[in-house]
Amino acid sequence: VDGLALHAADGVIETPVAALFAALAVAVVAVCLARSARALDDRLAPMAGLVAAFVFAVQMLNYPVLPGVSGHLIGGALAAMLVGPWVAAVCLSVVLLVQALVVADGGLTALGINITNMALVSTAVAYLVIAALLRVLPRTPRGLAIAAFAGSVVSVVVAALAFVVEYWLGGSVDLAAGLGQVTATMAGVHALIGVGEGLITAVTVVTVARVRPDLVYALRGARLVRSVPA
Amino acid sequence: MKRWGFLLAGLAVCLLLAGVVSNFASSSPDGLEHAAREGCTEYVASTARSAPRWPACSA
Repeated sequence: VDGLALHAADGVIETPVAALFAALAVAVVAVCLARSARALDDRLAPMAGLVAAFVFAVQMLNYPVLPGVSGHLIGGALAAMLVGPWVAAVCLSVVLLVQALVVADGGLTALGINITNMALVSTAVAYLVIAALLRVLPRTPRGLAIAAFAGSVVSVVVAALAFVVEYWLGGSVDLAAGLGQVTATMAGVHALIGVGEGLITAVTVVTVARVRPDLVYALRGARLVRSVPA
Repeated sequence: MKRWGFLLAGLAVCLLLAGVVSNFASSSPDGLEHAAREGCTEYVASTARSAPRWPACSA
């Protein structure tokens, strides 16, 4: 399979470092599972399944970002906004697990790396950005869209930088271009990928918020207002 | 919209995206692969070591 954005293959990161991040991923996902078990009620549980299915489907949709370069949504911001950070991290981990086991997107030994970057780092960063923005932005379609967009862009870039750190710790190939240039390329390309992710996330979340605002975790039961009250 | 209506509509969107829209997805190398290729170009040229393990480097 012609790789998917940020899905590292087997052997890209040396085994000891990959094992370290696998252990980290197991520990953090265990915490997320425990928190999810408390949060999942009969409203959130079907949404968790739907979010996982949606992210799985949309991750197939590589869009061009530069001539000859593509990318796809990771889904951290989308999942965090719809089902909250703990359930979101579990949803994305399940998506990555199925991708590694069933369709060979991302290596099995790199699963810990991939879960760390795309399920844990991206979700956590997206949630923090979105929660901070929603404190100051109005609960309008536009406010929600701005939070979704910003959370997406920042979370994708930070996830890409997390990969660079892992690569710095245990990359198995010496990069001729040097770490600085690889960092710049990764951040630049993933900022563009983040813009695409931001648009998809904003459209999806605002659509759900218009139809069923009670199913958007980030709104916490509040309705979407049409415009800012004067 | 009722709960089940919403979920069924959501699943229908998923199937449509995965089954139909995905045929129009870009097949260009993705961001990670692109960065790898850029980083590997000289590496491949400058070493005779066989098959570096980053797949993009052997391309």
